[in-house]
Amino acid sequence: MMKKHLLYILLFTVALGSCKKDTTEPIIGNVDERLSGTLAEYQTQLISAQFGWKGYLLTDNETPATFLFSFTDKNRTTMSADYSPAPAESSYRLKALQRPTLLFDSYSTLHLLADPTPSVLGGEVAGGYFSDFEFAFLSSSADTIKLEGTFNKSKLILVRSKSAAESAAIFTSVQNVSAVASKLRTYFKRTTIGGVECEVKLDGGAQIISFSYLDGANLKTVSSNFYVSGTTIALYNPLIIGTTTVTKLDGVGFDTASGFINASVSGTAIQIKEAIAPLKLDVTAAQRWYTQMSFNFNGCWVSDMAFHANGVDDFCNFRNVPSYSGLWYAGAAVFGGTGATEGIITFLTTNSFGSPYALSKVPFAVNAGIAKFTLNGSGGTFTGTTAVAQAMTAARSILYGGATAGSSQDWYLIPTSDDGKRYDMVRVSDAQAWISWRPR
Amino acid sequence: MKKKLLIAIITLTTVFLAGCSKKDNLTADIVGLGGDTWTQGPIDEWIRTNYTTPYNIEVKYKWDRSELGEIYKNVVPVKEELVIPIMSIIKNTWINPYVAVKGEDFMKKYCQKQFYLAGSPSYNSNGTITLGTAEAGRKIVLLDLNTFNPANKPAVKQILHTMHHEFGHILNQNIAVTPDYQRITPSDYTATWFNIFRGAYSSNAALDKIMYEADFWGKGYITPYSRSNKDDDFVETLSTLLEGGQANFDNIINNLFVYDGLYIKRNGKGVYEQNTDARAKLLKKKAIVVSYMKDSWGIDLTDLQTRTQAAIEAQSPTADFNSLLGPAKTYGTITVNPQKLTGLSTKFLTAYNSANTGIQTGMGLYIDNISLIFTTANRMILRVNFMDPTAALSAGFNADFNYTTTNVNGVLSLTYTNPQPTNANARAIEASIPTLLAYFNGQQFNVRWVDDIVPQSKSIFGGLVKTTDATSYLFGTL
Repeated sequence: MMKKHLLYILLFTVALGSCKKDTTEPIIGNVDERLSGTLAEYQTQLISAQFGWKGYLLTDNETPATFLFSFTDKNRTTMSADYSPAPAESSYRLKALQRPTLLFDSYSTLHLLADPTPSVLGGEVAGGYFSDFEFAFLSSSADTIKLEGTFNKSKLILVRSKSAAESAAIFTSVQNVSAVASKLRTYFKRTTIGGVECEVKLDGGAQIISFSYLDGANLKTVSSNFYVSGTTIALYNPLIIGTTTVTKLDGVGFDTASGFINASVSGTAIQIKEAIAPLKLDVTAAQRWYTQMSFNFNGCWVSDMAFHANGVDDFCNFRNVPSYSGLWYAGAAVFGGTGATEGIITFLTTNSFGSPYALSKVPFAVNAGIAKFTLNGSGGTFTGTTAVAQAMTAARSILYGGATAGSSQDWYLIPTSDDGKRYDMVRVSDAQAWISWRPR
Repeated sequence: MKKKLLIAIITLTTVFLAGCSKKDNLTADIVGLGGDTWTQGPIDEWIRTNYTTPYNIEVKYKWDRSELGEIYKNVVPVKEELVIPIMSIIKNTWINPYVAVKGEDFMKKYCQKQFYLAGSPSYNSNGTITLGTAEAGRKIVLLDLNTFNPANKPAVKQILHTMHHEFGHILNQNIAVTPDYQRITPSDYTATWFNIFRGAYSSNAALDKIMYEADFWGKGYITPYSRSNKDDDFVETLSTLLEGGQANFDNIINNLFVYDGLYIKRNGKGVYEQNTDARAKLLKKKAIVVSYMKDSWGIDLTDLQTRTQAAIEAQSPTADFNSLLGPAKTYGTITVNPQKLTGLSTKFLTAYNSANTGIQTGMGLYIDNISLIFTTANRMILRVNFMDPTAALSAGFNADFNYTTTNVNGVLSLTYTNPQPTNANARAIEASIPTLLAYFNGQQFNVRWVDDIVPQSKSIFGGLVKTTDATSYLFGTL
């Protein structure tokens, strides 16, 4: 009998205990509701920008592009881009993929960069510029949304435009910053960030900024792609200089009174100033440049833009030369002989050379890492009024510092690529003239 | 005691059941369940009216990477403005002809249920590109649509070929074709069929073309792809018949000869040696396709073919032949080779054969072909290409005879030019071919397509028909 009672008690305990309901609710709510809520919030945020969103895209092959987007509540978007400024309408959609995702789901200006057919906008066959049109939300604040392409991992940053004027100015902001940078006439530009003196180089075309500083005895260079929002240079990748992390340069502007560029890094004011010498000269670069020349195709160095001098690109006006292709510094492969002749000459798109040309004294002289170009003689008519004669007269005068045999000029050679096949050549006396060399 | 036990059991059961009734929330609104949603626009409306409502076909034109077979490729979406033009072409030239022949229910039952449209091709690692894929009669992915121009007939035909090809698979999967089909050319199916392309055979373009065509037509296959396997062979034959038309198919058959290098083998009188093996194989394949469609589906292939061709023509009409022929126009030359053509008028053939007999008996030569050349204003050059049977095979000799022409709205009046230009070949054979020269001299012809004589032959054959006698005409390849 006792056994039976025990059995009943046990049964009841099991029956009641096993049926205990778990009434806990997830304290952060239902996951699907939260996801729909998030998508709706993002959509509302996108639609809410009265003047649209400024879009800064960096594709996976580091091609920068700037956009202006506006979004409607009807899944439509209108966009214009720096490479295609006419506004065009297409569709967009927010979708919960692995992360909340913004899809540009019909063909638009944005897709031109991702198009795998090079005849559309260039880029590589089967890849284009390795861009995206499906972007996952990484983070968002009221005025800034950071996204990442889900396929090629491009970066897209949306910044809310505050006024019609700001939207209208978006495609000129990079040029504006480049113009500010070019107010400093010298090739070398110095600043001090967090107590570390560094050289600043800003390439407006590729939208790359780099800082070089002395790490012990070595020159260390860090660089990042950037975009420009108003007067802010914002970096896609934060750079570390000494112990300071640089994510952006705010309020970039030229101060006419001081002759400096003012900016601020994390709230600390900095000045970027002219400098006439490199922070650290690569003393073997000049000889390496000269040695490399004979390994280059046609045994020459080519410059597309020729000389920049006194704040003017293409100072010598080579762009006025009919069929201009490039300015060459070449040796025996062009001038004949056995290597005893070298100098500058204009190469034309007609696959021929322009006249006149100037020849350097050989052997090539390097003193303490500085190259010296000495004029030995000239060929053709320099006194003519043709565009090529005038351009070459100016180029000869810059390279050799004069027009008479024996004139000479000193130049720094600054390697600009890791493979040693690209150099910038900077005038030693004032660093206000330079030229970029590449192999043919 | 027993009653107590019963009560206890009932109580227990009640407690058990009541206590265990857990309720799960079954009404959760799961994100993405039920498909993507967006604000519907005019394109969505059009698709619903023309595809989804009548045929239960989904047409996806908005980007969805998961619809691509190869999701790891760089592909971009289709341009919105091309969706309706492309889909209306497909409707007019694929769905409508079948509906006209077999009725709505047939298409509703068997058609593919999903289209996915994308803008760029899918680039493959071997350098080729993919233009479309189909999955088991369910879904068709069309790629590279952003370059599509609805007025471009070859492009229209290419899409259509894909549609008829894939739909052919569906038909074949529902009712299999007789195994006799695969026994026609059992030994030449190959997995490397894609190595059959122009330029793969010879650096000499003419020789390359001959060898390329010999590698599929010459083996009894209608396209390179049909060498892939028996099923693709069957649907390629079907889709080529529908998309290309009857004249296209017959023209392929009529050009199958045995070659010796660059030239067709022939006897001493210039009679070509036909590739009878390939001709028979292709004709047998066609016969099986025709009877399959008739016996398995009750579809008259000729009827379907006529309707498909009419739909294509309506979609991108071919201009009047007279407006396309002449100096600096689309066509400049009509080449007439009776051994490669069927359907030339008896009256023309009488004149041609009599000239050929004349040159054979008189000079020991034979005529290979003639061409009518319209590349100079107000002139037609009758170029007689003749050969010497005792010499090695070659391109032969050309004799050019000039006719002065006037053309009033496609009515061409021809007068034998007097004096004729200096041309030694022409002077040498002139006296032997009077019937041929007289066939044109002083005559009036209508310059026109001959699709009433050879059906569906627009853009393949152009011809001249005598204004005074509609039973006297010639036509040739362009």
